[in-house]
Amino acid sequence: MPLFEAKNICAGYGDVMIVNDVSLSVSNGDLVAIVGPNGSGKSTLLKSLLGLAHLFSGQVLYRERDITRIAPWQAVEVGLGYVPQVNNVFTNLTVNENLEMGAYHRHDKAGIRSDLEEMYQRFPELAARKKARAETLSGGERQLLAIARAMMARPRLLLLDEPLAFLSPKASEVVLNRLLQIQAEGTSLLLVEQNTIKALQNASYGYILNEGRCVMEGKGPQLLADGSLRERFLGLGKEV
Amino acid sequence: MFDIGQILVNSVVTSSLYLLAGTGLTLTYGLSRFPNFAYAEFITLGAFCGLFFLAKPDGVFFLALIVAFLVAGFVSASSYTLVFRPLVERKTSLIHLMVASIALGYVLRHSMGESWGWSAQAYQIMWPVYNIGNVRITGLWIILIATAVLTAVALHFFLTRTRAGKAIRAIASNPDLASVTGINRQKVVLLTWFFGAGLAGVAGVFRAADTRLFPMLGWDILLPIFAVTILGGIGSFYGLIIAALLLGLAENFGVVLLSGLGLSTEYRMAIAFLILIGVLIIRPKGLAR
Repeated sequence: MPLFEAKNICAGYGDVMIVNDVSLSVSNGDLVAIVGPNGSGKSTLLKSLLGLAHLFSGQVLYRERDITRIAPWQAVEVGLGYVPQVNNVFTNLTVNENLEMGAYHRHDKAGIRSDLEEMYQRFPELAARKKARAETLSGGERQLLAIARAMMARPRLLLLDEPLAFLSPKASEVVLNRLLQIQAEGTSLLLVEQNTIKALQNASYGYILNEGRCVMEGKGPQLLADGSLRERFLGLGKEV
Repeated sequence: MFDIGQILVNSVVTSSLYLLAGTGLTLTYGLSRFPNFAYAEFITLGAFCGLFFLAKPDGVFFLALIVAFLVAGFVSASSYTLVFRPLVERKTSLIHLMVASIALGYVLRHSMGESWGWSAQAYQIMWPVYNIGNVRITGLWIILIATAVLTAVALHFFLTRTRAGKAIRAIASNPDLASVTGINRQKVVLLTWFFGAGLAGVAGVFRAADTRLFPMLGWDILLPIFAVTILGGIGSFYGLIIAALLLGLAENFGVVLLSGLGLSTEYRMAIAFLILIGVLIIRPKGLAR
């Protein structure tokens, strides 16, 4: 049984349909990547799954439970975490308060305390800045805080919108490694990413979007090895 | 001859009133992102609620404050649910929300005028007057200042120590992220509209007790309250405290200046206008940003 399924999603903003009939599935422990050129509808697809973009039609299932058109704040209770591409921290709150907000729907105080400690161990960069306002963090630190904030909800599936965008190569490496560690510990990841090579190299499964439609799907490294796809949709050369 | 101590006391009294009245406006403005002109009417409504208890000299002042808080809070929360929330959900533009708030304010103001009369009235409760040196201070002012200070301290702890308080700051900072973080935005916003307007109602009782009571009471002080909110930085409670103090001082020292220049103290309100325009030009996001 898949952990998460989206069937025949048509989504967009206002009257404009950007995503057209896209289906995807995430199994337990998977890292699923959605890649494609700029403007292919990747982020809109992700947002529509959480109620942040208009869903014209389609069905969203979490463990076979229909969660289509769920309110964004209820998605957390279901088990979905979300890390937006930009504006992904509460800038006027401290690092610690950002993490506390991640556990907003939880009421187990002892569990929240121990998860906070765990996050600081897992993200030592944040431990040093506990009381700093999030607006003072670097881009990489903000991305780590955004991921840690989402993890405080104990999600079973984390949806990430271009987590490696706008980061230095070093910061991007750090963020990717932390994500792989989170996946190894049992949280599934659904990743929208511009950095096609890094995403597909690490993905158990990948979807390639172009002009709002899924043009190809398959195991990550296999997609990357397909010469014609590399040239037509991914903007990469023929050689790996 | 003006006494500097008296001007300072007057300034703190003015600031305390602006702080109480402005708290709800800055918090709801920060969350809902539109200026609610009907807010003036929550102040007036609180003042009229006070009349039930304070029309006789032996009225219980604290009871008036509590009822004013509850009624103003209830009407505000209802207006959000019935008028503004449906408009926000339809993604109505800022200008339409503003016009809707002016319209709602008009309805509330005229309903109060028709119910309680348009002429000025006064609470009958008497306040002791204390003279400390040359400085005159009334019992009402002491309660007003104490209420404002206690509210500021309580709100500081509420906003920094409690789950709901942090959620209010989170929504003001990043509403979309707050939603996907699991915060039920509508619930928190509704709670803020209730408590914010409740404080406005309390401010209305103090204003009516210190001056007179009439349907334009809230509208008359709405401009300085907006000035304080903008000066402090919309949504910033700490900025509001500083701004309330600054405007209180500016108004009261301004009155002295106006008298010195041989001008009418009726220009007092113009000081708030000037400060508001000045801030919008120099620091459009306010002191706290």
